[in-house]
Amino acid sequence: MSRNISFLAKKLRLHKGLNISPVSGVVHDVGSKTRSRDVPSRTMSNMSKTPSISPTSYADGLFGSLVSDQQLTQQSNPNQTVTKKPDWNRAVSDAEKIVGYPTSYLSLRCLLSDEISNIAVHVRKLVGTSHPLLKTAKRLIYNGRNNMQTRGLIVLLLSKAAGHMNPEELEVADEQDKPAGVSHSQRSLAEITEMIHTAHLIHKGVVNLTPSDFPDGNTLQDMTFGNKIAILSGDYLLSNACTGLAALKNSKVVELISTSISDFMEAEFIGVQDTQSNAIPTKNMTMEEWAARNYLAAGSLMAKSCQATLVLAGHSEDMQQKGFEFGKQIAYSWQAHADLQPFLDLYRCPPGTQFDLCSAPVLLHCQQHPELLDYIQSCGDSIDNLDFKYLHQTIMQGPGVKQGLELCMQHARKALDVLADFERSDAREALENIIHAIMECD
Amino acid sequence: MANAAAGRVRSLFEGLLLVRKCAIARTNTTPSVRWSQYRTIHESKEHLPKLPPGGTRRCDTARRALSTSSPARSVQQPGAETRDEPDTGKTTDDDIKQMFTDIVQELSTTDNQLLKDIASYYFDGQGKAVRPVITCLTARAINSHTHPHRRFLLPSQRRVAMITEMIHTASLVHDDVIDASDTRRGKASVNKHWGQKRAIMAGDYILSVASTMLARIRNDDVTLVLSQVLADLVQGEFMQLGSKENENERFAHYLRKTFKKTASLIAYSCKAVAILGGADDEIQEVAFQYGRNVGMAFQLMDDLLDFVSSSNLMGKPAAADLRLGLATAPVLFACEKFPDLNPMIMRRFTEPGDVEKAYRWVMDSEGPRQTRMLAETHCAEAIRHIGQLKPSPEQRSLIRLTDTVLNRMK
Repeated sequence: MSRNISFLAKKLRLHKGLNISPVSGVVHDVGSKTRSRDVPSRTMSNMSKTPSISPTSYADGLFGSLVSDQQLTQQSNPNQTVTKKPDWNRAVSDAEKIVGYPTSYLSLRCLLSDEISNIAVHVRKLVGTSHPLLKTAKRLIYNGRNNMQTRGLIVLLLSKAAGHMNPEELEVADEQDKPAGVSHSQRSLAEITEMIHTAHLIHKGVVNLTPSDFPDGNTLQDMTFGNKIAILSGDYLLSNACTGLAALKNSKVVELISTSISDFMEAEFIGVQDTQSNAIPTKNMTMEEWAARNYLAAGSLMAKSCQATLVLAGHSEDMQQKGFEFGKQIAYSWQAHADLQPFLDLYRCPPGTQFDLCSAPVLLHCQQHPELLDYIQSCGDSIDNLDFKYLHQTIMQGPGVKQGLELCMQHARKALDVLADFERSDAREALENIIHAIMECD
Repeated sequence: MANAAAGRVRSLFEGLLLVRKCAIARTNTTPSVRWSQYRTIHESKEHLPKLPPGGTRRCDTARRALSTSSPARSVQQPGAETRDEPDTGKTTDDDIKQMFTDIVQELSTTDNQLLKDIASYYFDGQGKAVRPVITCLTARAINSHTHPHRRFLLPSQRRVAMITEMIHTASLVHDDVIDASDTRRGKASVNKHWGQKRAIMAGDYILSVASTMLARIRNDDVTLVLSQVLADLVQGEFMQLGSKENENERFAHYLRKTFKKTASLIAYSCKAVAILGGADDEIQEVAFQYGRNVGMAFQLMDDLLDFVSSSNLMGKPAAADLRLGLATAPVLFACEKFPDLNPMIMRRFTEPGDVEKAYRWVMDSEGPRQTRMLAETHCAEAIRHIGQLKPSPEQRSLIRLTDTVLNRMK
């Protein structure tokens, strides 16, 4: 598999001095970290600013040894203390040992079939354009350090922590699948979860081709082509996820996961949006709405896959509900964490980068200082008309960031509470470590 | 005899939904006149601007198939009510009428009005609804085969028909964005109206609702079978992106792609309703093969109509395939007479004047006729397979359906 990965990585090597390292450490899907819709020029400049990270640190991550503190100091945010990042990496790499294999590239494994190496060829044609797909592809393969959303890993850990109601099912499986106490179908489910999330990210990268946004003919052509590839790759992942689900031979699981896909889609249609479908907050937007919107966009998939993996293990309704609750809380805290990144990680998101206007800090700030809301709503057709540096500054000075941090902690604590109901085990501990790492990594 | 046959054919046709959608059935000529018309045109070897309506060579086979039923019916007067046959048409018709309302209802479980509007945009009853009709008829035919003397449609089979239509529509929505089409079914496409992003999300939404419905049927085999369709649809699109250098491979590639894009959905949904109807493997295969052959014929005729029909009737622009750079059956057949088409195919008709030249050459060649013959072969195969079922009104409708497929004008 590593040979295939390097093949794919080579195919996607980007210009502008970026190197994609052939092996990656921790799992990521960086897309929702900042839900930024960069304008073309900014995307290009961002790409050139992102540093290349040495292959050795990835190799270390992959095989579970500690990442050296020195490398971390160079790359982590100067505002944060050094110890926080190793906690996260350590937690994840320990966890990966527990479930039996590195969970990186779970979503991309299916992309490595021959037919689909066609995609890599097509994506390469997009190099030099500003289509969001390129950024998504880069992030999927190229390790983003701050990404904490390891869905597949969490699902696997939860499966292990909860145990299996029918241990003889595990016995039947192949010798190779036996380690880690997680059945083959549960592994498959973890992979499917990652696939669906990736597909959604890719589809979100489709660009609205309004002529006013792209007056230049060549750019329009690039964008059209990029859209085509984005749609097809997303569809391919989704269809693979569906066939994978069907192969599980459990209709309740299929139903759960399909409804979570519907939820994703609903989330995209909520509220007011500009011409590129960026969300714009409305008056009186409360945190309940934030919660509702993010339940649909992020919580639903996580919660339902946690529930589904317990269904596969034959657990009771009660346990399934706990799994659901756990997944939901962890998704909320991830989302709050992601919302805070533009304000905490000034290295990756220098002031001026676009961020999600319906994210927690913005909403919390606007609740107490409505004049900012007026400014945001004055942007008219497109959020490009706003001065994000000014917005960034104002919010940093206000209560938004602090309250956002509290929100993240609150949900993380709730997740820990639910976890306490599970039996003590190394998997449970690994989950607790991961949650602690989220809480401290702010 | 000819009059009686004509009368019966007419009354049966009136029962089928396809009559409403198919302009041909409104003609009033008798089969013998239609047959001679066809023969003249066919033998003069002119290219086919407008396909002759109604009776074709299929008439013979259809009549032969009809004769397997009780002979008493063959002297039916036009318009007379019998116990069975008009009923079939009515019930399938009712199934379909109700279907679109039900689909819209399933899609409206969300609170979001915009999403509801976009998702329901194509379910207004304007589409041909070929796939649900085939699915329902096959379901009833299989049911009559496995449960003789009873005629019914299971709710789960009906739901499979709905799922089929939803999957088809979702793929249409995505295809329109991929192909950058502005019109579909006579009105602005979803991406034109609401933008590409929302179109994609709406397509995914329809698909996910279809998936949920599929799961609720609680039959693992059916779920497996229909999710295979999704994989095939996407693979078909990918195959369309690439092109084969070798001319010999090209046609095989085209046929495989046609199966994946069109025939797969019909074939697998027929198989799914067969499974639900309690059919054994052999009968499931019959259903699958019928669906596959009809699907192939349907797409071949679609590709042919792209060349010979006018854009008004189709609801979408004509010669669209050429403009998209796609080399379909008529073009591939025409390569024999005009080898200069080959480099044009390789460069996907991108040079100025390519589309027009190719169009003229294709119309000048044997391409359209050969395409039609291939479609007829598939229809014959389909009839051969479905003939293995016990006779029933639906089985006869399915046979007649191949006629309609061959004689579509839109």
